[in-house]
Amino acid sequence: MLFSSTTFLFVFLSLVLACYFAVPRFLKNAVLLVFSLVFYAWGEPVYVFLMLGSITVAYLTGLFCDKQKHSGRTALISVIAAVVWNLGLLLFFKYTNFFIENANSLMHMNISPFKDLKLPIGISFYSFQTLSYVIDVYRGGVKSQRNFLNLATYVTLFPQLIAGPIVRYQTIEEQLVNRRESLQQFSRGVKRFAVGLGKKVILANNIGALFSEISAAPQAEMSVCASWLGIIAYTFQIYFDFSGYSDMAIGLGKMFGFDFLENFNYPYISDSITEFWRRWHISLSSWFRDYVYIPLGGNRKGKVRQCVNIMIVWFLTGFWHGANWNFMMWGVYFGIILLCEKLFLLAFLKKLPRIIRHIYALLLIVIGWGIFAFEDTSALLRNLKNMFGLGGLPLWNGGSDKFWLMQNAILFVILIIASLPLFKKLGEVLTVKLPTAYGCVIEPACTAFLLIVSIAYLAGNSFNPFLYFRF
Amino acid sequence: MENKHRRAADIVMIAVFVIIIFGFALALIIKSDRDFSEMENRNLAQKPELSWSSIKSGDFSDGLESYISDQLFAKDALVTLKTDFDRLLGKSYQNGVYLIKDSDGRLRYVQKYTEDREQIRENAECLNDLADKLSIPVDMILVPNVSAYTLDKLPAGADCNDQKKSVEYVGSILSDKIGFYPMTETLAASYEQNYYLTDHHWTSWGAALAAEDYLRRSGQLAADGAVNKEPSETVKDFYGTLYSKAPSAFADPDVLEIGSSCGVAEIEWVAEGKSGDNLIERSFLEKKDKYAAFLGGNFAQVRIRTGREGEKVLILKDSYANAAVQYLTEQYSEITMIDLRYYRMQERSVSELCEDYGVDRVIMLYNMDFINEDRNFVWLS
Repeated sequence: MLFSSTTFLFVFLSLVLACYFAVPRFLKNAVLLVFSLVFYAWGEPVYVFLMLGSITVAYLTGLFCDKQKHSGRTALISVIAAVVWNLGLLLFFKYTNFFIENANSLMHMNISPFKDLKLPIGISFYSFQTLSYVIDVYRGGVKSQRNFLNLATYVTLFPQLIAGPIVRYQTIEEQLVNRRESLQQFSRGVKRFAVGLGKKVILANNIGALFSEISAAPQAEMSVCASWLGIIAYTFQIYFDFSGYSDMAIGLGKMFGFDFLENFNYPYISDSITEFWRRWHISLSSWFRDYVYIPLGGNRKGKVRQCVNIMIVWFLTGFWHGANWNFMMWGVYFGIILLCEKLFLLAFLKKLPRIIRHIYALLLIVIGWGIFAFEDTSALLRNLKNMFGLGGLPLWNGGSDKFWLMQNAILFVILIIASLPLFKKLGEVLTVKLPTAYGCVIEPACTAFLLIVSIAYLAGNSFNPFLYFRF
Repeated sequence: MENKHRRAADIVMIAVFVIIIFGFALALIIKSDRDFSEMENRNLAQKPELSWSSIKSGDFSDGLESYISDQLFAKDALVTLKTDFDRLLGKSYQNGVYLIKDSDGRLRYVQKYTEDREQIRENAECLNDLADKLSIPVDMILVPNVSAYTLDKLPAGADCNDQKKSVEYVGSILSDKIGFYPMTETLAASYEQNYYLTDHHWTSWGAALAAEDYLRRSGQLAADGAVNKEPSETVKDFYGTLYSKAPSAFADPDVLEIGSSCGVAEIEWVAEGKSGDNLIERSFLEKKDKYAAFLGGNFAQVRIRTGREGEKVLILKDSYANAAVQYLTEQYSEITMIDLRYYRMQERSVSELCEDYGVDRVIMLYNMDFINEDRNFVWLS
């Protein structure tokens, strides 16, 4: 089930809230678990058992890793088994067909792919969560969870189940057993959820329609400007879609008394790619940092080793986003840029004026999305050629490109403003200057506005894609 | 004091959320389900059946989703809000329709037109073939759609082709046996009166002008002869099919006019086995799609005996002709209307019909968009 659907808003959410706040404390996690399973099973019931299997493996591993009771050897074996299980599932469901297809075409083999193998939704997110749990328990970072129900609630927690953020066990370990829902937290959750829904439904879907229209346009109607317009549209779409989902997740979490960590921090204001990756999908990059980069030795084993480690991490980051060449290229692309920045570019950039650094970063980010957005390699290459004037296109054709730009000009302005922390700062100022009016009137009115307009867009059955089915 | 304010603000915020989310949820339960949406012109999804097999197959989840989406409280109002919010964002092209302003500031819906020369040629050739087989006069009345006159008013860069050129193209490939009567010039002056604001059809006024012009130019009416264009009745609050594609709260409804010569000796819907004595099917005047009041919509074969003197004609038609026929009843004694979308030639071909009915003249009455898109002309050959 998707957050941006009327079924979620008016059936699922109202039911889960009503049940959650009706039951006594000791049943609250059970309510969350049951609803989360229904949420997950919606439309694709069988894969629930796969997820329950992963939870069981994580649970048992947690018990075996308890070093006071078991020898280090048992713990090691069980944690290895858990890692193999999780990565095995991920590899099997997500990458098998990719490997088969490439083996067939590269080595002229003739293995038939698994036609009915559908990717279980959210598997990349919950696999990483259970992995972080077992590794942390093994390392002694967190205590194992004795209560299966609590662990299952953690993994399945519907707000973050299908599109992140990757909530680590240590973040909500305490909250799983000891949380207090409050009016304040619920109201913050409402605000956050409305903002996220608005970002997804009003902004991302709207500009996403432009991207899909431009990318479907015949070459004859394209121009250099149109191809940039398309990829800039995608740049906004992916940010508002993804961060909107994270906002909705964080907001829903708050309604139930959970505090997740932030996942996005205005990434498009970055001055370098290094900064961009500290602001974009924070839960993923910190996961790779803590569970891949640092265990590989990080920067502690010399410059060469560090460079290799960075490339490994970014190759994997790219590949995590989907079983396709373009995602790998996208990861490697950022790996190379980050490496350059680390080795010499950042020092050089520091001498330049801020605006130049900003343009530098944005340009590389947008080009990056140009790689990310196209799974079909020939479409990807065509688009890159078009962007850089190698596609034999006019710079501007004054027809379709003018139409696309003019029809979306106001939307682009709104998207730019919404990418900056302006509203946040305005809110902070108003909270101080007009505490009552802002809190009791302006904020609720804006929230109501966002909710109603989002519902209007959902009612109109407008363009509403789910971008993470490949993750 | 601070804390008290904070608390009040939290309560207001939560109230907003609860009212909206639970309000819609409750409305779904309380409100009785609609069977049909006039706005969307389709049947709406009903409650899905809850059973183990429907859950397992995914029918239940799909069914529930369509049910909730279709039966959503205040759905039409919400879709209107969406249209106007999109307009606020500067989107004057939505769902295949341009939303422009008339000279008097009223909102006008204009359908996008993309010329398909291949299809036009094919269709024209079918009509040529028919004309070749007939030994009676054959005329073609070709009506441009409103976009022919609004190209300069469309949003910047709009990719809408020029219908005037398409009309000229049809004229250039039509056989000499067909008298060609393009209505481009006739409807150009004060075109805003000749087409509905919210519907893709022409108004009765536009149809009357065209009928008169055709009869004069073809010599069936004296050069100073006139058809009676005065309406006998006007029907308000007509929101047409284009409005339904992008319903705006700022759209003005159209007024539908009924001509004074709609009463006839007999009108017969042949395949339906139904007959009457008036061109107007009054029940539609109460419904949303009021244009369907003309002849009750489109049918394979409608025969009209006007009870007046004159030629017997056969009209090959689309829905534009439905509004025009009320201005032809004074001129002809018998009018047979054939809609090729529904009429199949198994029984009798058009030339056989002409012979059997003793038809004196064949009139092809089509709008440009129809010739550009329709794929049923092949039934003629």
